[in-house]
Amino acid sequence: MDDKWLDILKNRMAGYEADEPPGLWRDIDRRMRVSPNASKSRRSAVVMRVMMSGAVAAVLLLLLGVGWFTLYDGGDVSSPVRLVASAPDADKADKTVSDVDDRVVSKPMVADNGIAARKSSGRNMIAAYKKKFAAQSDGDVEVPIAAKSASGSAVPVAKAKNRAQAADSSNSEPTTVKEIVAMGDVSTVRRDYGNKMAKRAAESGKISVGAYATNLTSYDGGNVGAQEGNRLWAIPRPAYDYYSSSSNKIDKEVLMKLSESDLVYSHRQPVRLGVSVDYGITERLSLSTGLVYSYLLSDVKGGIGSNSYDATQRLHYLGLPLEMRFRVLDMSRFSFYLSAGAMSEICLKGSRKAVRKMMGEPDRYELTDARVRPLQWSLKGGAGVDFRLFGNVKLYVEPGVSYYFDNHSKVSTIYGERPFNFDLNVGVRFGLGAR
Amino acid sequence: MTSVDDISELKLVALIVDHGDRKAMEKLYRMHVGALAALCSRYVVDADVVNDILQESFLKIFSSLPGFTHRGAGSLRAWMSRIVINESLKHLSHVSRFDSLPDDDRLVEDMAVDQSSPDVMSIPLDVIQSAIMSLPVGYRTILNLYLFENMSHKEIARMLNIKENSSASQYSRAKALLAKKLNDYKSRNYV
Repeated sequence: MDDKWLDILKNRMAGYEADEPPGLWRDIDRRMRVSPNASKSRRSAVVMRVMMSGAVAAVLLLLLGVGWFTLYDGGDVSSPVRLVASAPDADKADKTVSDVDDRVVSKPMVADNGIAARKSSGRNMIAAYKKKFAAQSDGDVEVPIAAKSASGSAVPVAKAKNRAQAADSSNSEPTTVKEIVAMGDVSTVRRDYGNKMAKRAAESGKISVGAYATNLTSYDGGNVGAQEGNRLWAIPRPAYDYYSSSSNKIDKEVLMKLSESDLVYSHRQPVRLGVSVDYGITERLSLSTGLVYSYLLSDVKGGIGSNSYDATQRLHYLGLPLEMRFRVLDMSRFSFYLSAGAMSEICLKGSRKAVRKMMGEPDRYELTDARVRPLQWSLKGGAGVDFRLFGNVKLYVEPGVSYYFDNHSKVSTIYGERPFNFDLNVGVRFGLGAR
Repeated sequence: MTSVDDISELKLVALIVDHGDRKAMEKLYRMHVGALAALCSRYVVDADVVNDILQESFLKIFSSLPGFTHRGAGSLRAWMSRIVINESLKHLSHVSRFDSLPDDDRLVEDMAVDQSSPDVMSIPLDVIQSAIMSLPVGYRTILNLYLFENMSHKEIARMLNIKENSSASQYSRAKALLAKKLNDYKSRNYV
C-alpha cells in the first residue's frame, strides 16, 4: 500500500471545517466579561489609561495640597503686610503700616498660621497693634505707625531712626500672640503648633539622610515553595514569543516548543533597599531623593505532563527616586506625613535559570539573559509616620502605593503584570546639622 | 501577496489589539471557528471537551493577539491553529498515555488483511474526519502530528514522551486502520 492516498487525504482535509460547537461564542463572551485577563488588550487600552490618569491626578492633587498649605502658613513674611492692607476700616493705617519696616510685624506673624485669610480677625489685630504701639509711646519712644490711638487721637508718625528700635521691641514681644488669643482668634492654636514645628525642624536640621527597606518579608532566600501569600499569579503568557513566530505552516520547531509555551509566572513583591537624602524646603515640606536597589524574583512554570519547564527569574534594578514629603501632624515623638513622587529604574542585571524535564527527568539546564532594557518609570504616593528614637534619629514606617508605567518590555515582571502595587517602607532617618 | 480577506483580518486584529473591540473578536471568531473546531476534533473526540478547549484557545488568542506578528497570508490561521493544537495536547497529556497500544487483537488482525489504498477522492470529508476521530487516541495523535503537522517520529517521540519506534509503529497502525475504515465505508456505500 503506497502513501499517495494520504497526501490526497491531507490536501482535501486542509479546507475542512466542522460545525461551530453550540453556545461556544456565548461562553467565550461571558468569560471575557467576567475575567478581565481575557480581554487584556482592552484593559491596557482603556482601563489602564484611566488608572494611569487617576494616579497622575492623585499625585498632582497631593502636590497642589502641599503647595497650598505651604503658601498658606509657611511663614511667609509678606503675609502680615497683606493682612493689614486688607483690613477695610483701616485705610489710613493700611498705607502707613505697609510703609512700616517689615521687621515690625514679621516676628509674630512668622508664627501665624493662616491668619492672612481671616479678614474678620484682621480688624482686631490692627486694633491690638494700635493699642500696643500706643501704649509703648510713653513720650520717649515714638510709635512706629501713623494711626489713631485707642482714644481716637492721632498717633505721631514714626521716625526712621526709631523704626529699628520699635521693630526690636515688637520682635521680642511674645505678648502679641497672647493678646490676639485673648481677643478670641482661634488661629493661635495653629500658630503655637507652627512654632513647635519650626522648633522641631530647626532641631532636626534642614538635611536628613536615611536608609530603608521595603517588603523584606517577601524574600525567602530563593525557596520557591514558600511565601505563597506574597506571590501574584499572572496570566499565562509565553516567555519567548513562540506564537508570534508565525509562518504559513506549523513548523516542527515551534511544535516542539509548544510544551513550554504556556508559562505561568508567579511574581513576588519586590524587595527594596535604599538610601535617601531629604532637604527641608520649609518646616513642613521637604524634597527627597536617593538611590534604591530593587530585587525582583519570579517563578516560571510550564510544560505538559512530565515534560516540564521550571525557572527562576531574578532582576536587579537601581532606581533614582524624587519625592515631595509634607508633614501633616507633629506630636511629641511622632509625626505624620504624606509623600508623592516619581522614580526611574534601570535594570542592571536579569537572568533566568531554568531546568527542562523530559519524562520527569532533568533534560537540560539553561541560563538566559532576562535583563529588561527600557527604563522603568513609576509614580508613588504614601503616608508615613516618624518615631523619634533619640536626638535626630527617627524610625519611620511608610505604607504606599505605586503605579508602574508600561515600558513595553517582553520580559514579564511584577511591574508589568501588576502596575498598581502596594509596598511598605521601613527605615531610619538621621537629621544633619541645624537649619 | 495580501488578499482582501487578509486585509479585513488585519483590520479586525488591529481593532481587537487597540480597542478590545468585542464585535471584531466575534467576527474573527466566526471566520476561524469552523476550521479550528475541525482541527481540535481530530485530536479530541469528546464534544464537551472540544468546546472547553476551543473556549480556552480563543481566550488565549484574544489575549495574545498583541504578540502576533503577521507574516503573510494564512499566518494568523497557522498561529491560531498552534494554540489549539497546544491546548489539545495539553488536555490529552493529562488523560492519555501515548505509549500504550490498543489491546485489541481484532484490530491488528484486521489491519493485517487490509492493505489496499482507499480512494479518498470519492469519500466525503466528514466521513474522513469521523474515521480519523474513531482511531485510538495514540494512533490519532501521532497521525495528526506526523501527517498534518509534518513532524518526524523523533520529534513526536520527544514531545509525547514515547520511544521513537513506538511513534513509528503507532503511525503505521493508524494508517492501516484508517485505510480499513475508509475502505469499509466505501464498500458499504458503493461509492
